Amino acid sequence: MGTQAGEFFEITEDVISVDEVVSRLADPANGAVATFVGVVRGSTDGRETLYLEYEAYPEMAVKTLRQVGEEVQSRWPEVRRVDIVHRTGHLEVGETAVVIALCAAHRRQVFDALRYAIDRTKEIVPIWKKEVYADGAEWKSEV
Amino acid sequence: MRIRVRFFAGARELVGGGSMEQRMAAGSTLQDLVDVLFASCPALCEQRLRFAVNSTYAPPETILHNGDEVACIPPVGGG
Repeated sequence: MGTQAGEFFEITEDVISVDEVVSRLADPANGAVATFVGVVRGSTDGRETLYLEYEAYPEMAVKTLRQVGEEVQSRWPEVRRVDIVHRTGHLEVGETAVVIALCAAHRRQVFDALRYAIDRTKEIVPIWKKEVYADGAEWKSEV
Repeated sequence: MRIRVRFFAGARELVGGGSMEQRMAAGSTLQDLVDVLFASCPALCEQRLRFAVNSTYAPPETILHNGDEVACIPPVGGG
């Protein structure tokens, strides 16, 4: 089975290309690549969102993203590589905030692993999201 | 000893800055530092903060060392 060489955990202010993230996982041993793409939603609880501001503790965020990748690979050894890119700064509705891509020889394991990866990212990675509305703003968290 | 303290998101807005330097007695714990921070900015108590020492989540009994970086981490919201 084996683990694929390389890894990519990044916090960036630049626009994220899903294709670019996925292309890094290219390897003839893979039969399945699963991706999660988190995008900025236009409303929360009926309030219209104008835009989002993401803030990170970059050094620790990269370290904890790597931890998420390690946890995934220890729980699902079939997963050969995990890459996670998270954007920070000013994001408009519809823009990509996070991309998680992981791969395995077969499809069976990738779905559970992907779900774990995004849930864990939301739980431990020091990134904050401020939703800016027409009539105010709020730091949002699910934890 | 000198500890660098960093604030993020709602905590940063409360204290009005992203970082500061705090002098602490040798042998102080993370809890000792947190007590100082809460005394100088009581509203921080309501932030449900977690703390990290040198970019790793750390329990209150952690012994601090000169030059350590302590981060005040409000509930995270990535994704």
